[in-house]
Amino acid sequence: MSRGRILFIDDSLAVLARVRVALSEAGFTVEATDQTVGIARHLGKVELVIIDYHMPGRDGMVVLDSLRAAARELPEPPAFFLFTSDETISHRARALGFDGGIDRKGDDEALVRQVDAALRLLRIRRMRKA
Amino acid sequence: MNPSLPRTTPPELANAASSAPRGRFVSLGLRLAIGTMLLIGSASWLVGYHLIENTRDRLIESKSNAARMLVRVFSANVAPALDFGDDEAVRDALESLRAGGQVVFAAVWKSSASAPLATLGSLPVGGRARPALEESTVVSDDAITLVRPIKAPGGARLGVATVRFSLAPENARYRAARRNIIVYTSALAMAIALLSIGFVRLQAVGPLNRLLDAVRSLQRGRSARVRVRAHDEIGRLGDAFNAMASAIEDRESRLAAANLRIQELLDHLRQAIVVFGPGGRLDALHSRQAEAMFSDVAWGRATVLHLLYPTAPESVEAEALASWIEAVFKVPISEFGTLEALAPKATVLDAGTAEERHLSLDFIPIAEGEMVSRVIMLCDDETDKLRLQRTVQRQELEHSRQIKAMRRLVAGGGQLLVGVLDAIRARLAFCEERIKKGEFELTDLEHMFQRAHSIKGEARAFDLVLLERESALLEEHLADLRLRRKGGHALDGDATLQLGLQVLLTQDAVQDAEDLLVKASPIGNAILDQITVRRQTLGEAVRLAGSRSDELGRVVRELAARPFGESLLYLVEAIPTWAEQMGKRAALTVVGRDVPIPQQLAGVLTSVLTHLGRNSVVHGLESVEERQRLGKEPVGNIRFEARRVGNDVEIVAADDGRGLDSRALRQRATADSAGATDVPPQELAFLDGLSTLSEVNDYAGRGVGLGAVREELMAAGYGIRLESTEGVGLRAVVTRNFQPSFDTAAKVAP
Repeated sequence: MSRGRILFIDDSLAVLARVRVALSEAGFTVEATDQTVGIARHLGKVELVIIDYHMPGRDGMVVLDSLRAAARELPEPPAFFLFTSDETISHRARALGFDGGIDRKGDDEALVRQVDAALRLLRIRRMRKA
Repeated sequence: MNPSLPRTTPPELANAASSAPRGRFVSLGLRLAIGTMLLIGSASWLVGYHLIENTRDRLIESKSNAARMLVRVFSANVAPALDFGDDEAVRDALESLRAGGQVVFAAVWKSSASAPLATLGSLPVGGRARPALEESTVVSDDAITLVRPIKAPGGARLGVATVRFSLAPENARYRAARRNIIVYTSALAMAIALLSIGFVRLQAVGPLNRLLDAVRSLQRGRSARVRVRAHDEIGRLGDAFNAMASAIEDRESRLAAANLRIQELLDHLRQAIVVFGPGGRLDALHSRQAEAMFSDVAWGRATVLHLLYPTAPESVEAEALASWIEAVFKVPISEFGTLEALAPKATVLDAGTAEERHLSLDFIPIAEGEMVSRVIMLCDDETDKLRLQRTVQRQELEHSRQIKAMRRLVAGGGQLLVGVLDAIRARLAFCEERIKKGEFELTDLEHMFQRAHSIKGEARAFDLVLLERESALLEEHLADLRLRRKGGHALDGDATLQLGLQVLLTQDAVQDAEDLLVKASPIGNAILDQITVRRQTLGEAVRLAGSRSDELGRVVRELAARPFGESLLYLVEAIPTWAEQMGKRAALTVVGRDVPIPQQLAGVLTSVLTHLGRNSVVHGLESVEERQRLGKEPVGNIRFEARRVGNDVEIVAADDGRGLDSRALRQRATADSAGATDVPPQELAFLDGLSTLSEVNDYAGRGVGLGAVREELMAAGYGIRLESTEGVGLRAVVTRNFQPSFDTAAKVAP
């Protein structure tokens, strides 16, 4: 059984490949893409969307805004988390419009732990709302 | 017992101590003193006032009586003189009043006259008018004025006399008396007040203060009793307190005993145990393991978040736990099961440092009524377990890869894999060359993609996991670039950089595969330079050109040579097994696995080394116990080494055992072979039929061996000599053209 469904958006295919392996081996179902167009169709199937902060040529905030707008129609919209190697940016994730931040980019074990925590946080909030 | 476990404070005391503020504290003694002073002061004032007024009244009354008597006598004395019209006598009578010194004014009127007949002293204003013939007494502040009619013996009114007496002496006495009354009354009131206060302090405030001190003492967790002497309400209060203190101490001691049992139980559990309440606030109760695990935590102030995420309080992990804690204390205990699944199962302390610790977490609720009141957290340090798991996984993976590599070697020969790796290198070099160009045409990408795909397939065929993974990433990367290029997108420098990086990673994986092959190969680096040829063809070449002294002869001999490691394939596993079967321990070290051994020597070397290795195990190496007693490593070391010496080789088989037992060899030689006494000890070992073992076993004891070994070697053109240091070890050196100093064959027993 999957530990959670995640959509991962990063411009680096190498990072995507690595993240896909790390999260899949940890039991998550991962949709990893470097595309920012046409991905709204995935939103209904995932609980967590993780977006790279620094995407050369693309603005992560614009991506976030468009995905949030698309997710508003969903009965259970996913949580949007920022992905960065910069801890200080991660702490400002909420101010930037994200639901939280995942940092220590490059540390696969830390990524798995943080993704697990983000999903737990999301589920606790949903439970309390219910 | 954990020293941090607090003594329980009785809740009723704690409640009393923490009751709502009631304004500024005013001592009961002070209030009683003020009240007593006011009461006694008021009473004293009333009494004093009454006494003062009474004194004044008495003084005036006394003065009035004396004045009345005097005036009556004066009236009686003056009546005849007035009746007879003797004015002189009247005046004399008036003058007699002056003698007392207290009459300030006196006057006599005839009843028929309005002006006074005679006067004494100065008349007051309006004092010349005749008063009414009626008797009157007027008391003012400073005088008493008496008016008395003067009557004839028959009762006829002859006139009237007015006498005014001074009250100055009385007023002076009154003032003196008033001062005394005030002083004495005040002193008495003060004395009474002080006595009252002292009494109240002694009887009530003092005992109450002692009781309060005892309560505070009890509150601080100390034993406390009050001494009760009075048999009154205060005494009963003291008795009640003592009974309460006894009950509290009894309950505390039982609680402490229960806590001690719980603490001992916790301390003996493997996990670190921490208890926390709402907000994650840590309870005082925790196990010794918890203190060791979270040594930097201030237990009195910290929360469970400080324990688990000390360096990342704003991380998503900390936020998830905080949210979970908030939820847990708001739901009924029956719903804990649902929330339990959302608790963290593990965390890492000091992540990314050398002190990194992996903890597994478990949460158990404690209910109070229907709600969760506290949560027990069990933490297990799984760092060592995890490290062991990873090491085992790594070793298993390594072993699996080695086995697979060996299978490939056995199936297809090492050179097959070497050839594949060379081909892969060439494909990667092609990619590298294209990347250096900086711009990719679609055809370049196609070609590179095809090569990456081939590399992946070959890596998979040889179970080279790392190479397969890296080539798959390379292939994926190229597929992506190809797609972009087909879509008409230009490829930026970042894409080129990443592609180049992936090629480098794949090249590293190729090197890793080659290193693995060398490591798995018994002949070391030689595997990389080896090909398979037919034995018959090689034999023919040796026969035709092997004896030639020219370059061709050297090349043919080199071609026919076998790597040293090939002669040891069997011994690598056999030597430790032999040692184990003899209750010993031995490890084999091989040096120069890829040194080529000439064909003639290679033909006998396996047999020679088997014999030497077996001899080392049986005769040379001591038992584990003996080696430990001698201060040696418990595992004996047997070392086979091949090295090039000029155009030839030298083989050394050495062990760190006990060396040759010269005395035993000499004794056996003397007993078995008369005339062998002149043979050097290092040559005695080559005597046939000579063994220092008294019993024959599977491995030795028959005395057949070293002599045969020498013969075999000599037939191949080589010799052997022994170098022994008693207690340190034995070295057998195989070299070409070695001639023994003694003809041991001639000393063989018949």
